[in-house]
Amino acid sequence: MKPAKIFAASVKMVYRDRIALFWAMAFPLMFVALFGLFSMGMTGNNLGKLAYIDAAGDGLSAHFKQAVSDAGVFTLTEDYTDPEEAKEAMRNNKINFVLVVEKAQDGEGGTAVFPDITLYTDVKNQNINAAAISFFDSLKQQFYAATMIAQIDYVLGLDIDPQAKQFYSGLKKALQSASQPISHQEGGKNPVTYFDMVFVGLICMGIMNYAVTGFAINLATMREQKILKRLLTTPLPIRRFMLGEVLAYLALAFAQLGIMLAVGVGMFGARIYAGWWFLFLLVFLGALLFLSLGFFLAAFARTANAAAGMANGIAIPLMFLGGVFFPLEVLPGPFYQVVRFLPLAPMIQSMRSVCLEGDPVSSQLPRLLIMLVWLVVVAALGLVFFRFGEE
Amino acid sequence: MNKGAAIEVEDLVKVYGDRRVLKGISFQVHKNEVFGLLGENGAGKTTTLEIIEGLRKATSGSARVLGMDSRNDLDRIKERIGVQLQSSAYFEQLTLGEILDLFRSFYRKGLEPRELLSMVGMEDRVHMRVSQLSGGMKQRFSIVAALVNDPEVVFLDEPTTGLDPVARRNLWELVRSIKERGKTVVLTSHYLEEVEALCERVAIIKEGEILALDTVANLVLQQENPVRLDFLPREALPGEAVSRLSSMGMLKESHGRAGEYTLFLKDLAALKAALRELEPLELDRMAVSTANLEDVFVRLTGSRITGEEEVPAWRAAR
Repeated sequence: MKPAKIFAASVKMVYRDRIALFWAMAFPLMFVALFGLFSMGMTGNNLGKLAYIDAAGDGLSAHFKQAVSDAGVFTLTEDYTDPEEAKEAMRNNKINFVLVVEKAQDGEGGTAVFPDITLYTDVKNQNINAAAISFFDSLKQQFYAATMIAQIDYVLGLDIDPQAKQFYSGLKKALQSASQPISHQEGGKNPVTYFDMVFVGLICMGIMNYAVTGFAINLATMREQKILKRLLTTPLPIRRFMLGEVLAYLALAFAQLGIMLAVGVGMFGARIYAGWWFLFLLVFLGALLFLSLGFFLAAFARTANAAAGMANGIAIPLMFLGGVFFPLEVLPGPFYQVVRFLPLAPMIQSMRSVCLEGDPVSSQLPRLLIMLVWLVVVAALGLVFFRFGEE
Repeated sequence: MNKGAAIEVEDLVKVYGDRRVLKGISFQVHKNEVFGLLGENGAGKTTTLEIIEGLRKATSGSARVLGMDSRNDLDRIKERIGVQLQSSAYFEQLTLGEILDLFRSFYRKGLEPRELLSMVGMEDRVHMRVSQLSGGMKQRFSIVAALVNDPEVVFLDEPTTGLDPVARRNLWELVRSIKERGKTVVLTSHYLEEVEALCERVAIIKEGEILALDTVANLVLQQENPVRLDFLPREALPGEAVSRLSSMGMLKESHGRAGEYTLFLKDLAALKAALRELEPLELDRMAVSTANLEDVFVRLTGSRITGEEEVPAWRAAR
C-alpha cells in the first residue's frame, strides 16, 4: 500500500510538471521531426532540382535531355532559359544545379559533334556536387560510346576486309563493356539510412536528458524547499521515498520511449531491424545510469537553478561526444578511444549495433559492462555525498 | 523520570567546528501545555527543536520525548510527534488533499485530509495547490500537515514569522485549539506578544543558554521591580529629580517616545513615593502598569528583541 502510494504521487508530480515534461517529451521529438522531414526530402537517389537549359536544340541534345530525365537522379525543370537567371535562382536555393547545353563552337556541318555541356553547381551543396559531376561524366561517356558503336556498326555493314572486320568487332566489344556501369552493392546486413542512425541516437539522448536534468532539478528543489527534511521527520524511511521517485522516473522514460517510437517509426518511417527486447533493456539500464548521475549532481547543487546548470553542463557535452548525430567511429583514433568510454556512447553504439546492424547481443557485453560500471560508481558516489537533511 | 513530562531535555550541547551553538540546555515540557522557546535569531531555538525531533545530533546531552530517547527510539518517536519546520514548503505539483493523503500513508494511524482541512476552515480547498494559497493559509496548512498522524506532541518552529497581524491572530486560535485537543505544543518565536498570548511556560534563550524558565506571570513577578511607571514630563527633568527617582528603582529613558521615562519599582510603597516625587512636575502623560515579558527579556538579555528584518546581516548569517 505504502510504496504504491508514493509511486502514484511521484508519477502525478512528474506528469504535472509542465516544463520538465516539455524537456522530456517535446524536445527530443522536435529533433526527430526535424531529421525525419530532412530525410523525407532526400528520399531515394534524387540529388535535387536541375535547371536544364537547352541552347543547342538539336536531336542529340534532345536525346541527352531524355537520358538525364530517364535516369531519375534529378528533378528536371525547364522554367529557365537564361543561364544567368538560373544561376541567380540557384544562389537563392530555389534549384540545386544548372545545366547548359550549347552547340559546339567548331561543329561545321558534321552530324556527330557532341554539344558543349556545362554544369553549374552551388558551393553550399558540396556533399552532392561530386555525385552530380560524376553522373554527367559517365552519361557523356555512354553517349560517346553509343555514337562510336553506331559508327562501327555502319563500317561493319560495308564490304571490307575480314581482318578489318574482326578488328572493328573487337573494338565494338571493348567499347560496349567499357560503357557498362560498374556493379555496386551496399555493405552491412540492413539498409540503414542516416535517419535510422540518428533516431537511435535521439532515443538515447532523450532518455539521458530527462533522467539527468529532470531528476537533478527535482531533488535539488525538494531539498531547497526543505521537503526532504520534512520527510525525515516522518517514520517513512527516506530510501523508500527515493525508490518511489526512481520508479516514477523509469515509468516516464518508457512513456517517452513509446512516444518517440510512435512518432519516429510510425510517422517518419525510422526502422528498428532487430533486438526489440535489447532496446528496452538498454533504455532501462541507461535510464537508471542517468538517474544516478542526476542524483550525484544534485548532491553538489545548493539550489534548483544550480542543479539545472550543472545537469545541462554535463548533458550537452555528453550529447555531442556520445555520437547522437554521427557514428563515433569517424572520430580520430586516440580521441575515439577516450569518448567511447563516456556514459552515453556505449548506450548509443550498442543500440545501433544490435537494433540496426543486427549484431549479436553477445558482442555488446563490453559496452554493457561500461554502462554498469558507470551506474555502480556514480550511484555509490551519490549515496556518499547526497545529504537529505543538514546532518 | 517525570510522569507528566512530554519532553525532557538534559544538558544539550551542540558544537559546530569551534562554535558552541548550544551550551548545555536543560528543560522539561509538561503534557498538554504550550511551551515557548523565546529568543533572537541565532539564539539556538531551532537547533534545540531539531535535536529533539531527531533531525540533528547533539554533541552531548540527551533529549527524551514521551519517555523515549531521541537517539535510539527515533522511529517510535516519529510516529507520535508532528513537526512544522521553519518555512517548509510542500510538493508543488500535488493538491492539498493529495499531500495530506501521502503524508498520512507514512504513519500507522492518522486523520483524513478533509477532517484536517476543516480544522482550519479550508475544506473547500482540498483540490488546490500550495502555490494558490495566501501566506497565512500556507502556514495554517503547514501546521495542519503536522497533525496528519494525530500526534501527541506538536513542534512549531516560528509559526507566525512573516505573517500580517490578522493572520497571526488566526494562527494563535489554531494553536489554542490544538492544545484543547489534549496535545502538547512546543513553539519557538521571537515575538514577545505571541509567547505571552500562547505559552504557559517560556524559556528565554540567548546564545545557546537558557537565561530564565517559568510561567510568564512568574517571570514578571520574579523581577526585582515588577511595577512599571511611564511618564512624560512637559519640560526636561531636573537633575536632582533624576537622581532621587533613580534611587527608588530603575529609571530608564523610554525606548518609544523622546523625553519619556520608564521607572521600574519593587512594590506599591515605592510607587507611592515616586508619585509624590512627581507631584510638583507638570506631566503630559503618565501610566502605571505591571511589567511585561518584554521588560523581563530586556533585563535578562540586555537587548531589545528585533524583528527578522532588522537583524544585522552578520547575526542572521549565524
